[in-house]
Amino acid sequence: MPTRYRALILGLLGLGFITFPFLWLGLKYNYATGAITTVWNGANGIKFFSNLLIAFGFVAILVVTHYTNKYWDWMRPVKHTLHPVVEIMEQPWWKPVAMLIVLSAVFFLSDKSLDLGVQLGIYILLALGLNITVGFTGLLVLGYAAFFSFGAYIFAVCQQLIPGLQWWIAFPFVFVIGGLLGWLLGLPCLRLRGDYLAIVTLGFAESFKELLSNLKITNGDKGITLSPASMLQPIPGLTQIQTAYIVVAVFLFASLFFIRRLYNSPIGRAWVAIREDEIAANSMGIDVVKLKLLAFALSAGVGALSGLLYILYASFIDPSSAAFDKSAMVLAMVVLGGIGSIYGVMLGAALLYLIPEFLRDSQTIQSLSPHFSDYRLLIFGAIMVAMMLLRPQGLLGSHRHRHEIKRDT
Amino acid sequence: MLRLTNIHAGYGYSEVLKGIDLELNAGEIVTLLGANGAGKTTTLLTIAGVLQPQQGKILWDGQPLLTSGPDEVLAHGICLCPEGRHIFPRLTVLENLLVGSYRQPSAHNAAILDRVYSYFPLLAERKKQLGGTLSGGEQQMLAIGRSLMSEPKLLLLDEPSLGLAPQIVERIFGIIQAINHEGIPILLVEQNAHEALAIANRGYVLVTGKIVLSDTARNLLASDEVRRAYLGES
Repeated sequence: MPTRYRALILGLLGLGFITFPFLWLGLKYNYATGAITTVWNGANGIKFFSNLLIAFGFVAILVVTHYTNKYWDWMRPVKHTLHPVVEIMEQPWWKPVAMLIVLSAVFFLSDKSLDLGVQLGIYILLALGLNITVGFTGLLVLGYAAFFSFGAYIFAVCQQLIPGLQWWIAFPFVFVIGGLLGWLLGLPCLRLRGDYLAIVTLGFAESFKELLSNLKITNGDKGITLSPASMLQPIPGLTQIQTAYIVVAVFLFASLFFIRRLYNSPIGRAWVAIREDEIAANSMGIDVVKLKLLAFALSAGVGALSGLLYILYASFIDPSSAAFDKSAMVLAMVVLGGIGSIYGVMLGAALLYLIPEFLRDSQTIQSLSPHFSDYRLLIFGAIMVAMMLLRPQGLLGSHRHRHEIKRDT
Repeated sequence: MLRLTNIHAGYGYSEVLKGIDLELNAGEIVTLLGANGAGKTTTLLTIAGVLQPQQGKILWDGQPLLTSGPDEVLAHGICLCPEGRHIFPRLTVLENLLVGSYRQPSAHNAAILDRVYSYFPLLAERKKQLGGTLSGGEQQMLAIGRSLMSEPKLLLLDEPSLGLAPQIVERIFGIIQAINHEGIPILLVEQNAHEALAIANRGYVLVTGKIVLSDTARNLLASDEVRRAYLGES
């Protein structure tokens, strides 16, 4: 039997194995009364089956599209399936047009969509920043959310000390100080790699979170709210949220531009060389210490920047922003989209942020099955498991990564 | 050009090199011969700055070579082509080569690339292929080409024949000779003593961290001791 069918069957079995017991139990906890009921009885049984059908329907659609598409090659990137789209994206006019579309969307979208857009933009920025260390340089950083909340807290604390501090004065400082923190974290980490590095960064993020919730200057667990003078001032003629959308979009474009240029420069090549083979990279004249620290610093700087954007938008920050689930989420975005590939990481961030939101809010699904939203995280998890089984290199794996994964399977 | 005097070096507490004296003049190919564990690779690693000598001096162009790592040694024009090739498997051939010219101004890239392609036309054909998909001989060519991209003044080659078919070894040694004719001195570490002595000017024989014999390649090839120990003749 060809390996691909075996892998498919194994994947489906694994999927069923993981999801089915949960659906079978179908327990529903009533938060008001504390009563636990099961959906596996009477009228609820129909709802339960509809849930089950939808869950497996999703998987079935995925599998069918997977096998009927003639461009689809088992281990090839999604690029081949999205052939026409990729062709458009290689045109010279693609980037300005895309930027124009994203920016002009501010006038057409509802406030709710703009809110989604702003949060998504912040997540994409985070994922792009983490991609510098995890994707390009091959340093597994697990505590990335610490830099995010660090950026937000710098601004929050400074606007308390300097009343009326404006964000656009603060932003270069936030970037530089955030980068400095990354550089400092990088120093003890230079000798570590792989799992050990992950543990150190994880510990750093956790202790950073504890620090935030115990210091007086950060107002402990209660967090800090921005004073009105330091909030984002709306551009004349636009609302607050439209302004936030434009600011985030502009920052996103700028960082995309710089990260792309870096990736294709000798520095980007040196990062990838370090990831591939540190000894050889060093023999070729690459100062491994300096470049690793640079990757840490830039990555932390971008993280701090997205923290600043977040607090400008939300006007509030508390220590839970440095929690592990955020770090893990951003890492999942990078891995799912395709480690090391810039478009892949953006796609991963978009999917991982939008799928749970969509499953929660979609009216169509709600009307089909009222209990559906209870299962959204479960389905989300199932999609993640399926992804890792079917496409370990991520949706748009960078060509620099694909090879080894292909050889291993 | 390069002179090692009384070099002691090793890994941690174990001393591998016990006083090496070695000299390399401009335009020469010098080969280091010896059994496994004699300290051939350790000598190269010490010159390249991967290992720090515990004792002794390395002189480069009459100046002591005081460095803290291979990247600084490369800045002096000494490039190590490491044992086992160590190419970047998930970079394309072209990207591999461009990593080699990391320290060169990027305006030079095109000119150096042309030169490397003239030695290895095969690399030009395969420049878009991933490094890991090349065959062993091609990977060795890529590794040497990558070292040349840094425009070295001295090339340290560690076991270029490792794991390659005899025919490919011959080709690669031919290219090494051609590179040398362009004026780049080469320090060659080899297990394949016959091939190495055939292209070298001089040779040193290492036994457990000490140089026991040094002579011209022609004399070494003729010497009974070397023939018995390294050429498999009785």
